[in-house]
Amino acid sequence: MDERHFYLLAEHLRDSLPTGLEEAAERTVAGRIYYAAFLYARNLMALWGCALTSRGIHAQVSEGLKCSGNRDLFKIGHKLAELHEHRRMADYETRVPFALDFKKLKDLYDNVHPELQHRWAFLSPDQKRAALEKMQRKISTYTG
Amino acid sequence: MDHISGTIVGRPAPSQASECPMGATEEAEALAARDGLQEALQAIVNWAYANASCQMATVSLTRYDDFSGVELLKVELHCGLRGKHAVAKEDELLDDMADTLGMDIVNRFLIIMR
Repeated sequence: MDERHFYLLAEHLRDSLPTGLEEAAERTVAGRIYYAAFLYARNLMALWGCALTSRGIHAQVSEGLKCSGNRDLFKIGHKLAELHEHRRMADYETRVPFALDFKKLKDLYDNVHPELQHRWAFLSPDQKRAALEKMQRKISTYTG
Repeated sequence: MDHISGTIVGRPAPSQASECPMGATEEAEALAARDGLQEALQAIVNWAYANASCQMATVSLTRYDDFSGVELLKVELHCGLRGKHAVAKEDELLDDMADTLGMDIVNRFLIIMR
């Protein structure tokens, strides 16, 4: 499955919120947008050669990018972490009123997909090797 | 999900002061102390006060567990960012913060500017 379909589903749901279930649907929109971005980043990083494991995978991806030593990847990791925080609020903090800011979430998503692939493509082989090494070092703190 | 949060408030400093004094709730202080994060937090608050057009920098420090027990730290800076350019502006500010303080400090946190 193309992970972008989760984003398209979120858009569709935002445009047709089921009556009486609006808040639950809006919280679901936030979750689907996060997963569309997270899965895209996870799959790319695996393709690049990052050894990811299931334990703490969300932090492995966002924190790995943040600690890559590359400014562009750092910012993308930061945006992914921010999306994760929206998703956490949406899924877990049910006692806190939730107002979906679709534009904000879309901006964050657009800064991950397809930016991550573009930014990576611009790196030289040496830069890629250095970034991978730093990412893997951070990832290994979660994988033990 | 284990979720601990606390608030650290940076108050407007006297014009000649180089540092923005911080007051903290007990929980946040304990959290910061346990991780040895005070210096990094102080640096971020100082930066926000001096560079992000804020009259008062409020930092909420939240520790939460990811699905597998991973802990991440979130810092919320209330910098008065508003409007349609907020995301772009936020990007510039994050860049500037990383330039000034170093990525090693900035990448320890999830920094959200409001």
